[in-house]
Amino acid sequence: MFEAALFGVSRAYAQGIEATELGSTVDVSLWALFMEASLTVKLVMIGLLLASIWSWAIIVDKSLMYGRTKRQLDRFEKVFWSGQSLEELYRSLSERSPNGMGALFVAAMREWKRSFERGANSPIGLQTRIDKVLDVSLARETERLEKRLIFLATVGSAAPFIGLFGTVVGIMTSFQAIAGSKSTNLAVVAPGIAEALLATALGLLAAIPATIFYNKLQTDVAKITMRLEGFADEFSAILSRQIDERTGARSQQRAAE
Amino acid sequence: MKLGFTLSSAAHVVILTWGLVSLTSPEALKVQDVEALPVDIVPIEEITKTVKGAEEAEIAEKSAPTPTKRETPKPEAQNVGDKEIDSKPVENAERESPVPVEKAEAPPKAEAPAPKPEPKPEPVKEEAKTPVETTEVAAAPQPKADITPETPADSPEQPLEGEQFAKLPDTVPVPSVKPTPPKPTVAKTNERKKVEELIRESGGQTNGTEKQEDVAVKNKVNKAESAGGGAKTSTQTAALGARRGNAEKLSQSEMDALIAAITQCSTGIAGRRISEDLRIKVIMRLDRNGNVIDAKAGPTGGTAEERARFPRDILRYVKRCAPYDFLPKDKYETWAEVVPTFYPAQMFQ
Repeated sequence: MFEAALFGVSRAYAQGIEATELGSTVDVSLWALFMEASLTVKLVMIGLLLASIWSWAIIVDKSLMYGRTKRQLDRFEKVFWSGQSLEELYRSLSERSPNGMGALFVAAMREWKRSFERGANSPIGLQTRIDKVLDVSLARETERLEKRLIFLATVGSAAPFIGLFGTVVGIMTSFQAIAGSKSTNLAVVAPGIAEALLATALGLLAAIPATIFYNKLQTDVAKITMRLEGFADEFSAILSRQIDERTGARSQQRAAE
Repeated sequence: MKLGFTLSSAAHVVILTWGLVSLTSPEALKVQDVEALPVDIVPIEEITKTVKGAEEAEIAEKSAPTPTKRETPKPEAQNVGDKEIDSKPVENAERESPVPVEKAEAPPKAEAPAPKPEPKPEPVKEEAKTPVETTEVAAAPQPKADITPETPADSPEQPLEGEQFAKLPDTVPVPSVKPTPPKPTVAKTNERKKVEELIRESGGQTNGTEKQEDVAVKNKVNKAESAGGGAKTSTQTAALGARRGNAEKLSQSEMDALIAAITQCSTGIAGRRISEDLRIKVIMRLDRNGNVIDAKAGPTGGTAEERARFPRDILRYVKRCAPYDFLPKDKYETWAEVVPTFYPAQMFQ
């Protein structure tokens, strides 16, 4: 009788183990987790995935662009300070629409040439016009460089919250399911929570590279803008000296006449 | 921008497919081998239990009964002793049985030792018909055992415990009278009923439960000395302890439940100050169903008027509340007579 009881106990124990094993063989692969999720969580996950794709596209694009821009600046500076005449440089550059320093140079030179071709003689007016033109093209260049960079900043700060939102919604629904089934077994709770946490994981996955690269690209833009500003100031100084020289020469001519 | 977008999309697709392929279900945790920590709920009475030991030995760190003489241990035995058959010691047994053990040789009925109202052995008859093979307490009755204590049957073979053993005659006593065969007619149901009534009336003081009844009967059947004894071997040195281990007792929570139940039945007393030190001890005797057989109340402290009044009130409540059927039936002997103490100052305010 005692043996029978013992046997009964061990059999019940074995059955319990079997039951828990059966319960734990739920498919918890990534795809299954995604498919199990509710519509809101799915939308959040898809949105985060798209944000990740787009921010990586921006990262690749901008990195390439800044590298190119830096090389252009180096080349242009080399040519500019090589003692080549500005007229020649202008002629060679104005045919193709250049970026960066070239764009600044071409804009300023165009204004300069037009003013002299039309015979405008006020040196102060010319100086302000050239400065204005330089400022405008500088702003245009900066805008071109910084374009879409703000998306990275947005993703970097908002994606974790979006992921967290997905997680909270997922956990909420999974707890509602628990309340419905009246079972607090961890095997019942775990898949729902894992699925909800996937949303947070995706959010972080999108946000971390976005934040890192936003900071890096932002400093790159700042450096390039500094160089452009420096060039603009320098070029403006050169042109202003030229204006002074020319007006000085004219007044001397007049005085000689 | 096109280049960046295509590069990024391609990379995401590659990583995601790799993730879907390689990050499949992680291996399920195997938790079968973890040993669960057993948690027991221990009633407070267990802490206050007495430990089995020898009453006349010196205090030792660990209580132990008088060492037994038998060499081969009986693994199933629970009570320490040199007996062949395991049985609990009788609670109220005297130190030495009033009748010398040699009485096994003395057949006359008149000298039968009956120092207390022990139940007659008749109920055993029924058990004797279905002998069980194990050596546990319940198995004690052997079919060949004689029922009446006068018969000299097998007592000589059973060694006695302790120092008494040495004093006993070594020779096997020869019965002077031919043992009479057991009379089956004794086991009449009406007589059995009488025994049960006797048991019930005697309350928990002596042999209240079937358990004790059985033990008492088996002691007679076994022809053991009236002090009883077990068959479990003990090799430890004798140390101070109670004669009987595992004494049963009404637990604190059950006593509290009883007092609470009685307090619930009380009707409050409005606007009267009751002395703090007034204490009323009630001696209640209960039957198996929790009905009050009789109850007495003894007051201490308080004013004379209170001492006259509250015992009466409380006795009324005690009777009104009956039956106390929440008390555990299998521990009847612990609450056959209970002595709860009431503090009217707390009870009525």
